[in-house]
Amino acid sequence: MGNIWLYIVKRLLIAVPTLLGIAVITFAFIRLAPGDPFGMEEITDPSLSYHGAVSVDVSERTRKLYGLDKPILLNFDVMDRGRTVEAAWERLAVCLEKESREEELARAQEELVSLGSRIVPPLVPLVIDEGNEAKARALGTMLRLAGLTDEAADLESLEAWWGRECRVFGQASIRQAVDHVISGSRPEQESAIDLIRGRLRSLALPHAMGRIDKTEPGEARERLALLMAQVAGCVAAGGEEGKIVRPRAKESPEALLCAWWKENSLTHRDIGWLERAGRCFTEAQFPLWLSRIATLDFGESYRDHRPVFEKVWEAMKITLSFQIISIFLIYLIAVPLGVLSAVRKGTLSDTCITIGLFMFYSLPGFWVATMLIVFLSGTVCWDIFPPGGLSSADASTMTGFQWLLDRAWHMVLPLVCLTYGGLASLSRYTRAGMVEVIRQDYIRTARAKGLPEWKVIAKHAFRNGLIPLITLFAGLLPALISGAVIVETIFGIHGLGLLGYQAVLDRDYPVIMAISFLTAFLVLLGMILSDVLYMIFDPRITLERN
Amino acid sequence: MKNVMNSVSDSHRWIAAAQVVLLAGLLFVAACSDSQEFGEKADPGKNRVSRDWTNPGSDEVNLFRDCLLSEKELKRQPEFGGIITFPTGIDPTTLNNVTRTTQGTRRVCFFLFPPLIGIDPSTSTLTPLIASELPEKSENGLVYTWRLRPGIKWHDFDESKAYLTAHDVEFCFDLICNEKVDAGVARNDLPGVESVEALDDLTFRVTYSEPHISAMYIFGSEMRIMPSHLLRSVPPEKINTHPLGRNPVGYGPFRFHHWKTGDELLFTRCDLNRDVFPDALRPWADGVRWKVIPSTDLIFRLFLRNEVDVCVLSPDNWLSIRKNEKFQEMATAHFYSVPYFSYIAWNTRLVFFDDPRVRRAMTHLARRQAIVDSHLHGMADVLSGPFYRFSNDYDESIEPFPYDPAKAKELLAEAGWMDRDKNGILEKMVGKEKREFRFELLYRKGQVGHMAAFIKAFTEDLKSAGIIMAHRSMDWGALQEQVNDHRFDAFMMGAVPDLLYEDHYGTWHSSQTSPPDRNRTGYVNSRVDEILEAARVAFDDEKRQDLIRELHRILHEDQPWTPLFTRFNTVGINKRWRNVRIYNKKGIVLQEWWLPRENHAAGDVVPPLQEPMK
Repeated sequence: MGNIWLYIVKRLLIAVPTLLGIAVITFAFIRLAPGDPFGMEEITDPSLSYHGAVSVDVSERTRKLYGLDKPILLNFDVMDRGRTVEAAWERLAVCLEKESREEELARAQEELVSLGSRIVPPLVPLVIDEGNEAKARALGTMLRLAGLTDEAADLESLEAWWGRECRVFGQASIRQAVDHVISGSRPEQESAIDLIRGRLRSLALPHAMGRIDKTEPGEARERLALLMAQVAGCVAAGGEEGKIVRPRAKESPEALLCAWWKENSLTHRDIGWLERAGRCFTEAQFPLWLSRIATLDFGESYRDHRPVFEKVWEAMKITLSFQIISIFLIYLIAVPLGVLSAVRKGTLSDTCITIGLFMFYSLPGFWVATMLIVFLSGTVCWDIFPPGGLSSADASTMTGFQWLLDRAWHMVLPLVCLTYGGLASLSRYTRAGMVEVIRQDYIRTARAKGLPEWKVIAKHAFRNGLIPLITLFAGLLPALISGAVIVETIFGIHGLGLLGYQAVLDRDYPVIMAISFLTAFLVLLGMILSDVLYMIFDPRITLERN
Repeated sequence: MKNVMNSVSDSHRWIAAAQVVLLAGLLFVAACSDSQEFGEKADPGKNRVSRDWTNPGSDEVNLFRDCLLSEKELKRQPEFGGIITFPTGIDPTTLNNVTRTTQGTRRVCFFLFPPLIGIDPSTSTLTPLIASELPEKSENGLVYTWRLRPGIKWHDFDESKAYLTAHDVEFCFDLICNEKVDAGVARNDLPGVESVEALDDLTFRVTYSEPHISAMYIFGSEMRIMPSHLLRSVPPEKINTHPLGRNPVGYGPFRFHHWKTGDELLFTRCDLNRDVFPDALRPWADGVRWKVIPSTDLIFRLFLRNEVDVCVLSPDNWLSIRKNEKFQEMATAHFYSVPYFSYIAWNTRLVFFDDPRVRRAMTHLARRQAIVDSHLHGMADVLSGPFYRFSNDYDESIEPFPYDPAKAKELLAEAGWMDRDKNGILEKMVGKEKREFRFELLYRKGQVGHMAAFIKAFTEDLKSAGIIMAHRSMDWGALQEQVNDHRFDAFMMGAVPDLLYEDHYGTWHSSQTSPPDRNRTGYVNSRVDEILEAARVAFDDEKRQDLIRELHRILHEDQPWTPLFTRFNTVGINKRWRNVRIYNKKGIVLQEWWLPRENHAAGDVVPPLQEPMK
């Protein structure tokens, strides 16, 4: 038995990378399909297709809210986004040397200007050391654009300016200015505020953010936060938001600043390569999803904000109740029929059973479902069963037993549809297994020793012919949860099949992923289970190598 | 092992045999059923329903249903009671009024959170609902001052003692603007609103960035209100998943009862505010139930079994019910128009469609009336312009272009498209390059019945005129993406215009032509730009109507879209309900319905309220 456990553990370990692979592929496929979960309007009448009623701006915003603006599998962008001032400057230098077109130059320049005052301390000394007039002019222009200097843009005046200002832009000066805002005397405070507003600007942010965290809440902290929020531009009214969105004036500047910093801190401080490599994983959708799955958190549905697990479980309960009953019925009907046709092999009854079952097998489910409804629920003749749904309108006022009866009555037709198609294959497997067993010598022996025929069949033949059926059962596990889209749609049953189908149409990624992940998991589990069962029931099979 | 193989190949033989038998059976069935399509093609208009409207533009159309009743019945006073059961294809997304998205959810939320104003179905004018009157507009058109009806109580009034106030409105507007709240659609529904400010408990002021004709109507019908006394302490990022979304507290004429996802949603009548509300918010029924039924066919069957009270009838249902005794006995059928129309948009940036004459020729090649007669049984109108047929914007004096292949050929030739090399395909020299007339039509997957027939006929008509049209059906999301990127030759879609003051600016203004803006056809016309800009601030209804009708005329001449049809909704309604009126544009208003005592059934008992699960 020890071997079995070892085998199971081995298989389970292999299952982990397999699942990961399946997840990567499904995730990529789902996300590569065109369409967007937001701004999709479900339409019950297929001839009605709407205008895209939701503006693109709004859908962008929503995508951001759910992290869908991040790259899908890995975020190499972050590697690049952790851009250093030097890298940006190099790009500009290349443009200058190659005498590129103006647009390219302007773009490179814009990139640097967007970094704000942060470019001053590393770049100015660098350019002065290099002594290249063209570069000095470019840098000077940028400083002027940023409003940091009014002087002419050439090497000489840059040198002169830096001679005067280099101490202002030093770390010590930044630290001092921030300290003064917090705790300086009034004139110190005012000059520090001017300094930060006028020249240091975003350069003071990393240090100031640290100080805000460390300072006790109070007037001083609020002062610094308001100042930095103004520097960061998140308090000025309107900002880059669209017309209808206004910043919530009721939120404190500090809260706004923190939110802003969380999003933009990357551009305002240098980050090491280790952190950057880490962000390559943490700033992409798939790793984020995977890390949530690892803690069994399937997220929430985009459609109705409910936890995905709750939704899937709700649908799974319905699907499970149908599938379990239908599998039970399939075994109950198909196995005896299979045994019967094996025992009477070649006779008329064998032929009739086989033809009958294969007729069933070939009938398309949607057709049978419709025929059942037409003939058995009152459209044409007998009005025996309800045409769909799971309970009657007055179900919520029924007692427990009435309710159960009502539910069973509603389940009959869908169950027939789910069951009849599966009969053929199972009965054929039973028949094949039995036919083989019946020819064995020990059956002849059993007959020879005078056992009644039913005993020969039930006790000697059937038990040995049972082996393939048990292993088949494990393979049915995934079918248990995959549900049946067509039957569920026709009868209006909200099971997993319908949920998955609807989720695909809505591009409800968390739901799709949860369902496909669970299905993959059950398939793997079923395969392991079927191997193990096989081994347990058939002693001729071993899992050892030799 | 060998035996198993034998039996497997055995099975293959059996499968083949069974399939032959089955196929024969199916063929037999198919042969027995009469083919409707061919039958009707032979005699178009055979099944056309005569529309006995005295005045096609009037608002209360159809029969006033109760004229079937006896004199005595008609005089009966309305009674309380009964539950109206509606079928719905899919659950609402959420009952959180701020984060809700779809149209279906909007209709459901109306009963819990009725908006400030509504449209009176019989006069098509604005009427205050929870507002005490229509708002005052400031001189410059930028500020509107609204006043709520005093004394509207929230449904949890017993515990909270909370009234609906202007502060609720202000709070909810802030919520809608908050980036952490998934209220993108709500924001989109309130364009141009800068701020909402409560002046006192009942009065609030709405400020806009620019004056707009529909400002008041849009805010009044789209502003969403939630109970601020329950949400004020909730952090904004928790609003999206707040339990109120599944178990809402409203202030409307109905109160939330229970919601079993995938099964049913039940609201029950709440008389807390009955004295305060106008008649439009005073229902008689004890409740409204939405039964979730994904298949339209199943809806019809359940309707026949009295399990749902209302049922949308497909064109084929519409025909069959006249022979269906069961239906005749238990229900009446009605039709009304809904603000919706379909169209084909042409990408005017392409060499094929840059000439209005070519686009007009395309319209001349579309058999629109024939499809209406044969497949829609007359339950649709062919349009002359991209407007809703029964809105004030639509100019009835403009006749739609008829189906006329000869005229189309003439127009194409004028525009330089001719079949010079006699290969059956039109071509035109563009510069030095010879271009053949081939393009692709995109449309949504799942087009059945009349639309499928239309596409088929259109393809054939174009082919005989020398134009090759490929067509591709796409999943809705994929189609939307491609159309928003303006990557198409032509596409077919539907539009749902506003009932009043529809703003055509986005669709036709020349500033909106780059993706992802809404002028997808790339149509540019300086006069149209002028009209659109003027219409936005034309506060005088008559002046606006003149402008829009001029727009209609220009769009009719230029045909950047080939407008197709405005369809009529056809519904069956169970006979057990009284005072069921059918309004054009609005359809049914279930607050008017009442159920005579003798018609009560098992499903009309309001189940006891269960404690909400935590």
